[in-house]
Amino acid sequence: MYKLGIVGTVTMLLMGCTGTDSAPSSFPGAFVDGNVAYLARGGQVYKYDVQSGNLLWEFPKQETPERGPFAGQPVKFGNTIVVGEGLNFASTGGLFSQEDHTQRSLFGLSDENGVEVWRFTGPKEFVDGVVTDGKLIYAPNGDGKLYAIDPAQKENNQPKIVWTFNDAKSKLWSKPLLAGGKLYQASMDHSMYAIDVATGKKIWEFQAKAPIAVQPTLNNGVLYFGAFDSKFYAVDAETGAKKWEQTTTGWVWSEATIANGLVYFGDVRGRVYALDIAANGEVRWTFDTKDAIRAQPIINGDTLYVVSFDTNVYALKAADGKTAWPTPATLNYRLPAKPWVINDTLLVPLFDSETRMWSLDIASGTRKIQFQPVKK
Amino acid sequence: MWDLFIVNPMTNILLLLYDILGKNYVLAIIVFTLLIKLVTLPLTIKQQVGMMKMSALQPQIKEVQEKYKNDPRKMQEEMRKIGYNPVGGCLPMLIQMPVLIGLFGAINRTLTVDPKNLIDLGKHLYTFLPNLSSLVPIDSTFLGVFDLGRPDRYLVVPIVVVVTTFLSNKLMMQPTTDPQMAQTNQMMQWMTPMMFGFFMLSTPIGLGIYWIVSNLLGVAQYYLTKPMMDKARAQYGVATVGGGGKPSVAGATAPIAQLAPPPKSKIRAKTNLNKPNTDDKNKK
Repeated sequence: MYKLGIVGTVTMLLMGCTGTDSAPSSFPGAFVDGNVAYLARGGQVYKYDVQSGNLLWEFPKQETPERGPFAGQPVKFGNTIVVGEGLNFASTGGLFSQEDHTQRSLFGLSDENGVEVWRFTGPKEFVDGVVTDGKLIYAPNGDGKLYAIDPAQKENNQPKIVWTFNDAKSKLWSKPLLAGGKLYQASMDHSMYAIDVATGKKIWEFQAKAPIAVQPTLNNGVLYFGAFDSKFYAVDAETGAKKWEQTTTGWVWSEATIANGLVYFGDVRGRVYALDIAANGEVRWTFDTKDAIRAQPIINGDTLYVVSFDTNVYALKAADGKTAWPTPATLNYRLPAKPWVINDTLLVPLFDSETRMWSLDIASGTRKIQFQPVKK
Repeated sequence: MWDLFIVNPMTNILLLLYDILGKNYVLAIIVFTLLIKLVTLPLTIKQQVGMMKMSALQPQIKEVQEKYKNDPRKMQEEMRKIGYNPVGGCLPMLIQMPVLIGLFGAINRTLTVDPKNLIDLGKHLYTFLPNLSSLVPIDSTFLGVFDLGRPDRYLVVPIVVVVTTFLSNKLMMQPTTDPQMAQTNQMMQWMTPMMFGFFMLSTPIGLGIYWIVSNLLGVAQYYLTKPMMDKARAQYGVATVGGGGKPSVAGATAPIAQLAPPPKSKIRAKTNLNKPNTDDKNKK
């Protein structure tokens, strides 16, 4: 009978291995506007009062396997909040979870009550949200295309596509940067594209040696971004010519933040970098966390705030990388999304917990308000 | 530790093969499975020989069990003397388990390309193989219909897994004179394929392909090592297996029920190959 036992054990072990991670398959994103915060995470989108932690509305009212995961940073477009669906968790494995929802949608939700106003269904996932100039919405999709859509005009019962950028040869997993009449769009095909915002035509293309999955940061006519080839690049925004590059220990999947002549970002092996722009990206300091950094670090005064997959929020002195809090604030869950500073509070989205966000005291890192998915 | 020694090396080797073999993931799985089979071949042979040995010892085991049923200590002692090792046949199989589970982790990690899993992959690629980073996201389409990173909605892969596992089991199953064991074997022959087929309903197609290739290579391996195994069978006086046909003794045609138990001295002689027999020393 031992043979039966072995076969049973192996099967159960393998089945155990297929047990899905409870976290959504795409990263959440938050957006703060005055006293309210919007959060796209998992099966729902939430609007919260930042001061009280009260839930103002959620969309949809109840989570369903067909909807979500909502991913990336929500964007305000007129009186609507625009959010996209990332890769569907249910289609990525797990016992009997064979639903295959490859078609994912962008939603325009009423800012007032969270009711769906319009929907744009893309061929695939919208992993990192969209950008807008107030007239059009620029939506990168997992099918490798960037769609410029106009919710004011309808075509086949959904917002009209004004133009489509088709040149990328792989997934678009980061939102573009809109500046100076151009869109700068990263692609998993290893390229950064500059696109004419009026026509959707390619202006230039810069090639790295591996996928790029971050929105670039623009400073004084130079784009800063990292790639999966473990390099961080500075590229002329007009021409696409490389100005300098710096080697990192791991893939760079965090957007950069620039302040005081330094560019700050993290890599997936958990290292935070401060590179000197004037010195062609020379490393000023580094700081090691214990797990991947995917979110953009943010600066407030002289302090850099970094969130890591090691579940900690770090406050570092921007000048030298020394810790500003006695100990990091531990939130016990992976932290993949950019935090926000609101007055004396740091708002941190969580990935796989029942609690959706925590607000922390910015001076000490102590917990203040817990944001729950239910009305108080 | 598990990641460091099992899953990470497998992940990197799999991606390296994907790169070398023209970015064809199915080909990478096939070559990887072949490598795994080659590496674990000595263990597999040892397992089969161990099972043969246990099969040959069955009459003596029964005899000892009957004789000392009221004296468990003496029974244990006598069992040891005849060379009985309850885990001898399955230990090599147990050693292979981490390989299977590790491979599952590696395939899952490389194929289920969503942002969450991709960040995990990024953490575990070897920095001395920088080219691997340029390979993501892996092209997981197969024959234009299947996505290797997802379960097979058309049920083709689970069915082929069931069929190949059944055939492979049928071929490898050791015949036995013990009715209870024969019943277990019979049950195993059906249960194992069904269990793996059931498992494949929720598993990425990539792992199903590994399982199918592994079964087919197992069959090829069976035929390649058959002369060696037949020789060992003749030595132990165990009935031959294969193709689900009538069991027969290598080099003989006697029905299995009529087989005489192998001479004790022969078994002991074989045991001595593995470790010194203290009994013999004591006798001297």
